Amino acid sequence: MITDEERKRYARQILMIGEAGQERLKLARVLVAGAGGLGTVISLYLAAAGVGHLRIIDCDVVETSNLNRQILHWSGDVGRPKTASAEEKLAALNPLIRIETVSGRIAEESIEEMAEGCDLIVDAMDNFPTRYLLNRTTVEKGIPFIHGAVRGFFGQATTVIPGKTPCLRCLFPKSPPREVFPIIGATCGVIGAIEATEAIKLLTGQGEPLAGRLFLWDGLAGSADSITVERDPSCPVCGKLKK
Amino acid sequence: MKITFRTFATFREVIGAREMELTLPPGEKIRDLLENLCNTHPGLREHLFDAAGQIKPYILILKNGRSITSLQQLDTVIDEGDVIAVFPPVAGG
Ligand SMILES: [Zn+2]
Repeated sequence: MITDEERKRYARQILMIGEAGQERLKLARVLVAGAGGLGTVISLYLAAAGVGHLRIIDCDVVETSNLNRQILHWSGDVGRPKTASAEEKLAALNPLIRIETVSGRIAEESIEEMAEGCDLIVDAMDNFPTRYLLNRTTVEKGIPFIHGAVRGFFGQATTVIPGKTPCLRCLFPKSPPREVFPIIGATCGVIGAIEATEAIKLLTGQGEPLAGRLFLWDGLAGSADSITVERDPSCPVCGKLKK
Repeated sequence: MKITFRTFATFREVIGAREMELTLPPGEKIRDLLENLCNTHPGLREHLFDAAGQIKPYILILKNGRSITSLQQLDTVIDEGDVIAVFPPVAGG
């Protein structure tokens, strides 16, 4: 059941998703893996939309060089854990939802517990080794995984439905090199908003997810594309899953 | 045979087109296609290959949506009507 207060707050989206859709958002538990450029955008929109339980994981503290893009962290937050900074803003934005933060590194030993009970995982990481870990966990658990990544004016996103679509390993067998990547905040805004849209679509059962499609954003050209992508039958992560 | 070659991000800048229709001899492999494109598009080689002449491992080359790493790599044979896409995945967040 949703309350009168919720009915008022979410009135403009209830026009599309209905009260039933709103209730699905309220009952959902979503893991946002990262509170950086993508994670701050994703968690902001998911909190505003009324996703009932957000679990946000990050192990870093806010640095001055984060402020050009990590929109939940402000000048006064430099030096604070990103989880604390994000939690404070999100709770002020929407006191009706539960925000759970985990200040820790996503690793082989911790991922299982971090993902426990989540309906879906949204990728807001800045490196592929951790993404591969999230990917493997979602394939094992059979829960959807929304991938996004950015660099400069470019970004990509896709939604992994284990056993149905390519997983991250099928798509990106090799990790791009690690680097201090150039980036403007607006690119994180585009891809983070795409990921949040995917999450809301999956949770409410609306629309066509980016399942089996890789969305590509080219901010310099001002163009968006999507390419159809296929599973790799010999994928070491999802190859054994039946179609 | 006719195929479609699609480019994204930096490859689009180097190639100067987002999509090209190409007519290739039958039996052409991905390697031949890329080699020919490198010869006609200055700068493409540095984007595709490392100093040792190997294709950069993370560059995504898709034949009809399948990464060629799960096919026969650069020896993957191109077929009539194929869509070949080249894309440098990004990793930031
Ligand atoms: Zn896979």
